[in-house]
Amino acid sequence: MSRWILRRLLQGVITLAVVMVLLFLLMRLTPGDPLGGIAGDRLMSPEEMQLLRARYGLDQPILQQFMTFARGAVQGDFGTSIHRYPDRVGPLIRDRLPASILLGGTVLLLNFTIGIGLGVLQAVHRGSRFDRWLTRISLAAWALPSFWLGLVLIAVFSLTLGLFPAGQMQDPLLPADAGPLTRLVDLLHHLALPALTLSAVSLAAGMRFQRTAMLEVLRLDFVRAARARGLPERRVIWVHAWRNALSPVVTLLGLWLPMLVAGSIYVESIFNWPGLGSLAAEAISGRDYPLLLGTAMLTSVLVVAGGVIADLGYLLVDPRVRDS
Amino acid sequence: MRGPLAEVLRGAWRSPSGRWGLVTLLVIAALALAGPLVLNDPAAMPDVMAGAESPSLAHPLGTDALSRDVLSRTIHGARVSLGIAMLAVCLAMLLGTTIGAASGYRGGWIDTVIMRTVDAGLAIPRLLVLLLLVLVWERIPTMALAVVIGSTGWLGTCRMVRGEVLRLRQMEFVRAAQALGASSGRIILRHLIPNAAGPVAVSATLGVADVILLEAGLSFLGMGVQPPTPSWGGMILDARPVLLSAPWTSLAPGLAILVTVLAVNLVGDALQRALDPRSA
Repeated sequence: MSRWILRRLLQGVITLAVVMVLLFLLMRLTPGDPLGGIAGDRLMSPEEMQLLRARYGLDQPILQQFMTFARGAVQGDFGTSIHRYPDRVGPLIRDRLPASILLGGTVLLLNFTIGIGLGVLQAVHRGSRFDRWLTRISLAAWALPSFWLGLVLIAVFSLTLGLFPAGQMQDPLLPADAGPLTRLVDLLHHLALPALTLSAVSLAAGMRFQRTAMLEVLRLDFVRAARARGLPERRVIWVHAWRNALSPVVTLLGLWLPMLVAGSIYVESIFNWPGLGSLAAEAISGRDYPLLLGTAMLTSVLVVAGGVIADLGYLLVDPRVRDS
Repeated sequence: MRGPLAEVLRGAWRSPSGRWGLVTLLVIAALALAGPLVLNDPAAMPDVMAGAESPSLAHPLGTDALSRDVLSRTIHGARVSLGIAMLAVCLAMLLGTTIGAASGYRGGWIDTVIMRTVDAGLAIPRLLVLLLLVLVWERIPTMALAVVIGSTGWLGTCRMVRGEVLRLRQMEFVRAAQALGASSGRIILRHLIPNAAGPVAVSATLGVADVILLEAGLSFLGMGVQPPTPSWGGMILDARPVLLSAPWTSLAPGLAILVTVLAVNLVGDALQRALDPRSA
């Protein structure tokens, strides 16, 4: 089995190496070079353009450019930002991580508790009015553009009702000597709307996966046997059945890992949440390709890691996988 | 109509939610095709200084901050959005099906290389790939946008079709065709792809929903459909400063996205259930 784990890890590393090649090619496939968009945006003399190309190494032979890119990428170094020159991409990203992890962690917590719980209840009450309506609502939630939902929530809950702040992570008027409790309440107050927006559009996936997995388990004989032994229904469902329907939790853990760290470009930029997503949005308007490349590489690492973690997780929750 | 695809389509039509989705989509398509013939010019700004006006008889959904008719722009937006979605998904399905089928049928090192590349491609979030591709354009033409979106959407289909081909390749009717001396191209086109048509239809439908949301998102970020061409995402971007004073300017395009994507998803869901009754 340890051989299998090793092979899976190696596979992840190979995938990431190919990701690196793809990202580099992506920048070179496009007509002109990555600075093409900037040339149209700003007034620049050909000499200035030449200088900029030299600064980003775009005048070098292509193979050498790739070597420079690959060597940097392996060390997590994506060079210098264009939009925020002379800051480097690595530290820029690192500074934004905590805010994104806070938002993503909250969303994951909501999704795993509420989403999974509702999915189990749906399966137990299959075909009931509750199940049918929840299925409809989750289909509608799938179709919601998060940026629009965010704006609607801002319009209703902060601009009209004044219940929540419309953006930022902290009240700028918070006194400097505010106690930790006041700070925490203020933080949660700012966290509520962006977390709600992101959760509303992603929670449905958890519900659906869990409903399907639970339905399959509830059909099995051992559930009937547990009921026949006279065990309380709550125990049958949550202890006996659910323990055998944990695979969606593992799948989603892998699937949602990128969301935990990388944040959402739309939601973070709408709520001015100082995370990676709003950094990426800045990079877009500043046509800052090194910064976007860094963000893309980090997210891809998380996607691949999520896949590996999910595969290892199946080993833990499903004995059949463990033995094969 | 006969064959596996027709069966799946019939199955989708039999489910009430699938029928709702299809009918809604047909209505939206009809509006997108016929609407522009009777509606105001979406680019006309009769009274720029007046600002956004609330809904009235002349403008059933009101006007935006530049006094353009919101109803007309929403319906023109449907044209743009659905047009891009159809073009992009056709391209993606064409690429995904041919590459996936060829890769699975050929096998060997070519298959390994292609599938490793697909795995890696799927690891990069599509939105970021699109942003990196679009970044080099000063103003991306709508047609180029559709092609770029389509060329990033084939990876999942490719993997799925390859899996189907690997399964079908072992079946007797394929063996028989091989024994009769049919060429690889003929076997792939006449025997393998038609039998994978059901799953491809599902992935095309779900692909349309993805593309509509992606295009709206890109346009909202200012990197998609360029003004003055009306697009739902772009309209929401324009509506941001007047969120409270003129809510109709953001409600119309937002609800348009919601209803369209929901309808597409209902159809996709029904197709999937028709294909695999166990998943219901």
